Amino acid sequence: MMTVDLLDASIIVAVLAVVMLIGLRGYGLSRSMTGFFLANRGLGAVTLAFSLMATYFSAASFLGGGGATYLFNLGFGAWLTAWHVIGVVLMWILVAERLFKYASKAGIVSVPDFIEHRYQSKVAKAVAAAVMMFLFTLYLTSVYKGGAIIIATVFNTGFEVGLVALAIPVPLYVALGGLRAAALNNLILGSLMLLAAFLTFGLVMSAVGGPIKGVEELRSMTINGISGEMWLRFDGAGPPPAMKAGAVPQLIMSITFSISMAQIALPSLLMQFYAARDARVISQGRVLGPVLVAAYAMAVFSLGAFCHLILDPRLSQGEVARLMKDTDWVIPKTVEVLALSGLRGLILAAPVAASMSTLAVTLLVLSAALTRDVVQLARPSVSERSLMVLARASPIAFGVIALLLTLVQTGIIVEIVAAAFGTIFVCFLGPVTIGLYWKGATKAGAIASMISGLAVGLSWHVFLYKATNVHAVIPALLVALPTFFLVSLFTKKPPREVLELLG
Amino acid sequence: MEIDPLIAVGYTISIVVLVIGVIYGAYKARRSRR
Repeated sequence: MMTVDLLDASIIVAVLAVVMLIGLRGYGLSRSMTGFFLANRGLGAVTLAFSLMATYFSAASFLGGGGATYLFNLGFGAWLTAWHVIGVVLMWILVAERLFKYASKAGIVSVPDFIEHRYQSKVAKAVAAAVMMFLFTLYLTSVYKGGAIIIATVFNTGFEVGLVALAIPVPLYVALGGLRAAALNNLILGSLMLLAAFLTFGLVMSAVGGPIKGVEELRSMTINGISGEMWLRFDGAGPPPAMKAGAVPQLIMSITFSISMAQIALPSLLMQFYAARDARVISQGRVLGPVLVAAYAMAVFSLGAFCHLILDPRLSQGEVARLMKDTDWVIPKTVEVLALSGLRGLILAAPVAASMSTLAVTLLVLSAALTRDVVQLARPSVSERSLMVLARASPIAFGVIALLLTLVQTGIIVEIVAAAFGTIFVCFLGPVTIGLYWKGATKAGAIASMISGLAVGLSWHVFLYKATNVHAVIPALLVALPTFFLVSLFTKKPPREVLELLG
Repeated sequence: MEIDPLIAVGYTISIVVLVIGVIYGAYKARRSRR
């Protein structure tokens, strides 16, 4: 049994303390609704690009994405990287500028705000807010799980203790700081995450003698009774039921697509474009944004397969089998083996602190959805003061709900993220992303698309996902998008002054 | 080293799309400065 390394533990505590202090500093800047939710619309290109990266990448991507190829073949890493790069390039090229311009002209604060304004419909806005509250709470469980695993690993404690240690400071920090604090933190955390990704990649690659030698060694291994060759075949290693059904490729493609393409419709990312200082920021971010995401994805998403070479000789067959069932522990265990004291703390502090920040921004999005899109809608007479109290208090409530869900869920991180992000992508692709371009999109089309996407996505996930090995996002998309177009074609368009804002 | 072509395609697409995205982004950024 390992004891707690004081240097590692101190580094993690110090990084978390700095994150909290920046959160407190943000308090003074966040007394109004715009300050709280939009950082007073003052973000520059570098802060924005790092903020987007740190919101999107946290312990969930570091552990979930990094460890996944311990179970899946390297095709999972290759396609998770490919879809991520495609997603981030499309987000910056297709969505960022249009959304920023629309938001500046219309004076909107959140994605449900956009939907209300674009479709002139409070019902569409409430549906969007409800969809977000439900799916983001599910997503939060993956971030909680990732952060808690790291704390449990470093402090040599149980998963539940790690969870509580992570959960307590987050809502407090959000309640005090708002997005300005989160964005400032994200600049630091994004840099730390990138550093952690490169350090881990370097450690793993130097331990296995580089990718080419690593692949050769992997081929000659036998892993849990399966030839290492199966990690080099796209129809090779994967979850046992999918392998038996010969369905590993479709499972890989649908999961990686679900997780990655969400970038072009994810409200927690898109709301940050509203916070840009001016249109030039978006132009400059188009170069840096994709580079950051691609660099991180390339460094992290294929590591798991190589971890077999490092971990398996040190583990019993039973322990390898257990790790293949819960691959989220692979990366922290590998870092524990390879990195020296201090370096280990630095590598693991980044994702756990980024988890705090991701939790913070996501809780902010949920808080905005509840206060502005549901409460303000239901009771328009409510005062700004009461709304601010609710905006600061609701993250605690959402934080607790997600925490309880984390304790009962059993899936690995990539599965949880695919379910949550995939369904968010399906629900918002039509109303937000396509709605920015297509003037023919209507409120009835938007509402029908969100509801049908959520209904098909959830039903497929519960009843048909395991049987078909096709992730819910594919059938949900095949229903929600045609619904969006068809219903829009036959229903009333928004007024001309709204359509003129689309350019 | 032999890797399934479908895996290699994934890595290749990542690099090609990134390069195209960055060149296009730089072109648009330059145009917006004028």
